Amino acid sequence: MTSTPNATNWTGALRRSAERALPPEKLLPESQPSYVASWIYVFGALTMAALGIIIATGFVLAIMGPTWWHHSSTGHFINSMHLWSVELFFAFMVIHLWGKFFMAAWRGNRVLTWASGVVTFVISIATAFTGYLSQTNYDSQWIATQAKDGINSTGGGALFNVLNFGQMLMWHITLLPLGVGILVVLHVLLVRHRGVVPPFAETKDGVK
Amino acid sequence: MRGISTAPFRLHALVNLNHPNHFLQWGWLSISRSNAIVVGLMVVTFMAAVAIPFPGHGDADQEEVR
Amino acid sequence: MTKAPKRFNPDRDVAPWTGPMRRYDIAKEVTICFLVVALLTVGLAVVFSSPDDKAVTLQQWASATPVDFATTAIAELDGTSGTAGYGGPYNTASPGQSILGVSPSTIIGVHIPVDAAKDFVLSPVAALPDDPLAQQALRSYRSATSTQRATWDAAYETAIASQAASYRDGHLVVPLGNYGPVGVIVNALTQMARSGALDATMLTEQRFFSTDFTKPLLFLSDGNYLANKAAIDHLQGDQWGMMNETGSWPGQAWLWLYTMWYQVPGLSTSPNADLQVWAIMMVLTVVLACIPLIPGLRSIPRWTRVYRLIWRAHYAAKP
Repeated sequence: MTSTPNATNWTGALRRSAERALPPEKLLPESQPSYVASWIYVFGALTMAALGIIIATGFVLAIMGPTWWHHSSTGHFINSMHLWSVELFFAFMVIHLWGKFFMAAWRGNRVLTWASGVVTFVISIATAFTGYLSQTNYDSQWIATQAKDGINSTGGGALFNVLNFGQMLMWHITLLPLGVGILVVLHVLLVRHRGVVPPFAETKDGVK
Repeated sequence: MRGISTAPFRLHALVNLNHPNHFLQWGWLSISRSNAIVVGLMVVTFMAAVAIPFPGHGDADQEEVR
Repeated sequence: MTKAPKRFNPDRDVAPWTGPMRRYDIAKEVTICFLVVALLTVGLAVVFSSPDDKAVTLQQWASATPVDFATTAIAELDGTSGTAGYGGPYNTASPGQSILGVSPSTIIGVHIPVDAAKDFVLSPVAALPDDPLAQQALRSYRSATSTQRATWDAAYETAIASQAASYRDGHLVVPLGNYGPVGVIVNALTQMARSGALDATMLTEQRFFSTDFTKPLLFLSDGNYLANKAAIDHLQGDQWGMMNETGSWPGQAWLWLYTMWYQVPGLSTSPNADLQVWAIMMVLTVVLACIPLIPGLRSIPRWTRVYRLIWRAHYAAKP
């Protein structure tokens, strides 16, 4: 049974708007413009892959609790994987940023794609920071007692108390990863919606 | 420094990094050797990603003309 | 009235692509990337593991360096410690850092109240169940005038800082002087810390559950024990510490710009350094997000021509 679009139906309007912005062949295309042919394009996917490993190892650490890794060899190994996947995540993300900068990937109405990437970077730093605070070891103690001065100076320390382990752990495993996740999804959908930025158009007189 | 011990460390690693780092210093600039290696690898990786040809381009079978 | 079309700006605009497409399998790419990164992560974890320096306890601190512990305790009592004189969000002892005449921490006020003398010294000693000497010393201290307390505190502070101060046979030993009940109080606190009881008392404050380590951490950071350990690993603020990790593991290289400002002469010694650095970093972060909108900055990719390498196959294929 087909129905004519109902102007007052929110669900239908939402679906039609989503279909216009991201038809299935745009969301999951089987082809890319021919200029998408460089290894630098792989670093967005590598960053997301690292994020996947961070989340998976984070889940295991969450299942067993925040002090498990101090007295279990398996726990210490999972913690090591969590730490190294974070190092890889930031390395790939920054290389991705360098690539996108030199491609001026914001051109052609892609400013929001660039900006959402920067915000993702900043929230990732905050997530990593709360992770370091959640280690329940000497490093957490030192980082907390040092970082408090910067955050307190802005007035933010009244709410965001880096010396409060319980609060920092909860930010690390719920609020901040949710923020990273939402922004990554938004960022990727924007890339699919706008497409990969074309090269500078060059003539014999230079870029036109 | 005497009297302050590093914690006992159960070695699970092939390479033991549980010792004080080395630092590269130029005036007020200072970077740990391990951080310098990470950043160096990132720069090399970026240059390689940009320089190394990506497979499949130019192959007529791969092209679809719109 | 229709608006005149914007002039084409190569740093802002690009014509839609009408050229050829090529087959590309994004799902395969993401899967391969996931497997590669998973293998890399396992490999790095197997080869290098991860650091785990055990947390420092008040017991360790008081056992290893009891004179430093006692020095910190008297500073808490007489209000000269870092925490006692901190300001917002812990107390109103200091106006807090300011920038352009505005002090955000003062405006926001005290939200995590910490009374250094009470929370770090007097209340823990009051919790000792079987030490009548310490309880009497507390009563004497509390019933004295503020001027009398200040006199005792200052005298003891001088004594504990002298070369002759030491810890022997289970007691702090200082040169003879008139310290009133202060010597007994600080000694009781030191013994309590060395027994391990102070760690639990200061954390839980006689409740059962707690996950808030504000008070033990503030007390610990007022002494030298934590900081001396950090200096070995180059973790201090003036050692680019924010970027570094314990041992020889790589740290947080992505914080290089944030920590760099703390090494700059002038800024590093400013009493408002933390707030000034935060302000600089917030501005730079906004600039980074707004590069597409900033003429000049957004032209750097075109000027540097790195794109010629990235898209060289595309440019070579063009007729």
